[in-house]
Amino acid sequence: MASKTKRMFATVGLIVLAVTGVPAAATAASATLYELTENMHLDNMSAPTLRTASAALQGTTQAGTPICPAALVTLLSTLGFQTGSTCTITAFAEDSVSLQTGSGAFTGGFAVVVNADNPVDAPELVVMTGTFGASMQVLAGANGERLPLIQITNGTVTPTDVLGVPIAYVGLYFTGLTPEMFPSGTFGGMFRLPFAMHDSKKVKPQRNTDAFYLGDDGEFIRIQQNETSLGYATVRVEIGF
Amino acid sequence: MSSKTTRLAAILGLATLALTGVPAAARAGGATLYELTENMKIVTSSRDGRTTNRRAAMSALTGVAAVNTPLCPDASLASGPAGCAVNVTGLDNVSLVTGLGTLAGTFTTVVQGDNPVDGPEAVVLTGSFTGRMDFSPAIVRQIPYGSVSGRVASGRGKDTPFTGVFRLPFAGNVEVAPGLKVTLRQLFCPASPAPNPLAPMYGGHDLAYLDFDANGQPNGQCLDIQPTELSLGAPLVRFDVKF
Repeated sequence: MASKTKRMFATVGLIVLAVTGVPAAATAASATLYELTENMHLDNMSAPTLRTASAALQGTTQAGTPICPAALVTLLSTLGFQTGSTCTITAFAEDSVSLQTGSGAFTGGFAVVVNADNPVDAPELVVMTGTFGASMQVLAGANGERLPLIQITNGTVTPTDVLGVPIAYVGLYFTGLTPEMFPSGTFGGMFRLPFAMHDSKKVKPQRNTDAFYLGDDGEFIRIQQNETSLGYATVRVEIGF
Repeated sequence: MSSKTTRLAAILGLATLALTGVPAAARAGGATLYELTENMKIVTSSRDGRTTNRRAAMSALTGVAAVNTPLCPDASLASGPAGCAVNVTGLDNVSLVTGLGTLAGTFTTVVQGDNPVDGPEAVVLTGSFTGRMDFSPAIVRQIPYGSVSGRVASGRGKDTPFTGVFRLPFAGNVEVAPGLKVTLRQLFCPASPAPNPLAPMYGGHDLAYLDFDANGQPNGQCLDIQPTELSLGAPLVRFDVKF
């Protein structure tokens, strides 16, 4: 892994992607989200010690998780919404990371969305919302170099409302539902930061690169086309509950 | 709208895509943004015995603004030859009866920071905007666009007026209504009848936006949606702004 890591950091390379993508979906993790926008600030431009950022994310999660409870899926089906084995999730999050230790934390809000008035684009109608928070730690390789991986620990997620109704009152509005059907949960996971390779030559980065994520075992995971946004590779967030 | 919406529900299975598109570029003197996420709610209110429904939404957008515009006042802020990378968080509220409403939000101009492989993220300029929306074409007449006029203020300079058009993506190969042998492309794009050549890569869906004349009216032509106009495999609402 060390040699791979060295190669990885040696260069940023760019090749046009020729990808045979598969639909983005929650796979090994219970949820997979992608960072679509990020606004980042450093506390001191000349000698930064703290990196803060806000981000918008979107992805999918498996039904039966705290952010896609089975009771929600049943309710949506009853109301005539198209449902399946996953939910689409949007999230806004803020994080703060020490540039010295690589440790930090994030908090945010999420929404479960379904298709409503334009099914050609992504789902937009909010059917459940909630909040979350967790600790994060940038991982380092055997030689101390930072890896494009950020581990998520001590995560908590709490649903707050269903179709605008606070969780505590869902039983008053939806027959058969109880607040216990929308429990808080804990989670962990991993941010996978995209990187690129191009022989060992350093070239100016740009969009449409042949880009990868680093796997847990050091393997390169080729980024699929439907993991990109406007041609850019995205940060992938894998969550397990 | 419901029948058309139903027909539009040919959900897009965007598998086996190849990234061969051209980067989105800002129009001269303007900006081109794409709506990446949207959280929408229907808000019902009653007054004087009348009930009205409004569509309220919050969105995250990103795109490119041309140099020497309020979103990109200096070439030194540009992320590339197309101009400056811009992130926007927007709120809108539109009547589902008239299609009229308001919008407001904030923007950040960003440059590449600590990871050049993903999108730019380091904030170098911030600002805000407000405006009025006319989505009656989409909401009342089921034509996939809406217009905006407003003012934008950045940390550098005074308020500047802007106009814009939201282009909603549609699948041109979908029939207008069941049994009607007229497709959306035939209806909206008679001057550009050829389907999007990338349709085979889009699962057979002829993805398109409307195009407009100098007066902001649909000109009978459509723009083929490019692979670099997709996010996570799905087409996006496109927002073209002029200052």
